[in-house]
Amino acid sequence: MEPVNGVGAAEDVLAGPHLVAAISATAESDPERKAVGLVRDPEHEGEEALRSYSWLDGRARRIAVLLRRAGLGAGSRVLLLFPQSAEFAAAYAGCLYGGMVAVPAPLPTGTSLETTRVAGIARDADAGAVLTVSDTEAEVRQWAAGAGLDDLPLLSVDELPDDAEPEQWRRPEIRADTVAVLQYTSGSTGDPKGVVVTHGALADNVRSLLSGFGLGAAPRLGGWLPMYHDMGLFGLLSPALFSGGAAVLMSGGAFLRRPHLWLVLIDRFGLTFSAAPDFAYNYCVRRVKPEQIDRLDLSRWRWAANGSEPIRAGTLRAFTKEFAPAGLPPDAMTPCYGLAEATLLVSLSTGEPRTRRVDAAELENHRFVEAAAGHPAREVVSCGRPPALEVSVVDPVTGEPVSGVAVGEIRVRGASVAAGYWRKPEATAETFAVAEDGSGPWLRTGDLGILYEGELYVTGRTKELLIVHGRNIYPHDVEHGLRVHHGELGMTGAVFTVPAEEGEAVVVTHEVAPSVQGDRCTELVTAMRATLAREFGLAPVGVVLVRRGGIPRTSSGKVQRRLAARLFRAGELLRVHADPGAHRLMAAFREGDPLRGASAPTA
Amino acid sequence: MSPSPSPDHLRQWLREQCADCLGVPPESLATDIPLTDYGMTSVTGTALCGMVEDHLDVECDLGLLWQEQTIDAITSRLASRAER
Repeated sequence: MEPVNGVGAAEDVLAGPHLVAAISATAESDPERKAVGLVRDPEHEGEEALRSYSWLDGRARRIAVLLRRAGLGAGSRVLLLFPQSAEFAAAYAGCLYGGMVAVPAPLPTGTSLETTRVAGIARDADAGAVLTVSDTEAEVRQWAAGAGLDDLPLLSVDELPDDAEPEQWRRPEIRADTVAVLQYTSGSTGDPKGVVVTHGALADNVRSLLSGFGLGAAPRLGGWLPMYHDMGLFGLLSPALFSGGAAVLMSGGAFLRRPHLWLVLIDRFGLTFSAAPDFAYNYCVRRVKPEQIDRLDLSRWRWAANGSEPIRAGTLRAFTKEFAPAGLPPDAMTPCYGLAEATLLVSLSTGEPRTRRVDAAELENHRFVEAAAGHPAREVVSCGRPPALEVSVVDPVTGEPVSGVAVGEIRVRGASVAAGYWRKPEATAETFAVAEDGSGPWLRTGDLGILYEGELYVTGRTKELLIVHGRNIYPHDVEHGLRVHHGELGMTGAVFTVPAEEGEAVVVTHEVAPSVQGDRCTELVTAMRATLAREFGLAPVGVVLVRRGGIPRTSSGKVQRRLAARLFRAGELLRVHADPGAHRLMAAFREGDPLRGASAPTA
Repeated sequence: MSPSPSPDHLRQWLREQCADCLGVPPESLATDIPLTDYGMTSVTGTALCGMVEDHLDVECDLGLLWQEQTIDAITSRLASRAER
């Protein structure tokens, strides 16, 4: 493979062919230019909250020197456990400056699930060191000790020893196929899957994002998405640093507490691009007060990218209308489709958002047919035309292309498709499939959709995955977590989604011991809901307790969640107890209209 | 809001904020039933913490919500914090 050095044309939107070259080039040509910063109070802080390219480059060099000194060689994996901060950017760049592989993960200080998950990531990646900041070092040490990982070198990047000189750094050889990042948004807790993102794929995806959105020279991007999330790392930070622009960040917690501060950040720091999952836009509509809107100027916010969970047409309209008085351009709201397995961006919709009202019953049968008046309909949002990647829609079973109004599995091919799952040849072969004619690899996204009049519409998923507030949650993890916390539950549960107004509703079903009856069922469901909220951030629309043996399984014991969902909808699950939400859903299905009376809780 | 509101006022205020976070009418929320029964999650819970902190000038985090669970119990805890 050709080295990446040399790919970039003179008018390239990237400041260098790979991120290391890009950052160091900007640091050399314009050292004081702002690169990245965490803003805690956007109403009062200004440019001083942002660090320069010279700071970033210097830090990255020193981190690379220290990692080498700790015995890590090119290609070693480095776990990044950070609160939202400029220091994360330094650590990310530092790994790449060292020719190493960045493995971002959430701080393992939250739920027990998260703690376990991050330990699984550290092991799967075979990490050789951990980077954090002094604020969280004690917690990270405690986690490492608990996880049996305390022999890993741990470094706080805001307190680097003085003897690591930036001048000692030697630029590593970086080729298009050199691995840059392992992105762990896929895989359950017990079976984490690291998406292998190479420098070539990263550069290609960032280029398609910058040019697809027309972000121009040195754009300002930012928001509250965490940097261990693919949309945060590849959708905000990487495009900013690649193009000599700036990433202006705030924490996710700050956004949830005071959502208007996200919009203040965009206004005061002149961000032209920010991205978030659908729920966040809906949340702003519900939570930001008129007097707060009065003080906002959102006229410079050219792109409000909406992605990483199903996009609701209602959200697009409500957000555009609510913030129009603050100057939000009518076409700012931009539905996007992407996934970590394609590095990030696959498709985006330019211009004012377009939607189609399709027949709900036909859609259940995988046909995309405009709804006749009076028929139950679902409004599906266009994700536009893919700017760089090739997209095809195929029969999920045969892999044959589908045509006409048929909905099928979305497959994606091109330079930013990831190199597979880290050290998982079987899962890689399954997901990154070579087509019958030997072409490929085609990424099987596990998402269902259609190319309709040239535009991509995503309608559902073949994979058994829950997407909650932009996070991927695996049913197996939820079912297992419930059993860990509630001994009265039986051996098997099934968590699935059913169609609901503007999307889907999560239903939790689980077998229960015969001794649990009457009021104890109600108490158990209450306790289960508390666990689901605390451990998974999940508020299912319905919870059902079923008799032992009532959850369908294959002869080899695999839970049949799809079948369980069908039984639930037909009212045929052998239930011991169903909570009011489950009863409402079942009543709606009995009446034959799945889209009436089954609204999922929002935000 | 006054520095130390009476527990009844606080309870009613909290009920209204919870209802606002959850998108339901306040009268639909019983104050002795866990908020997670009504669909509260870490997202809506964090929003509630923000409101409590802004209006009562006391610290509030998800840990407190998960521990106390109901509007009644959260009210008691917040009232004791506000007095200090």
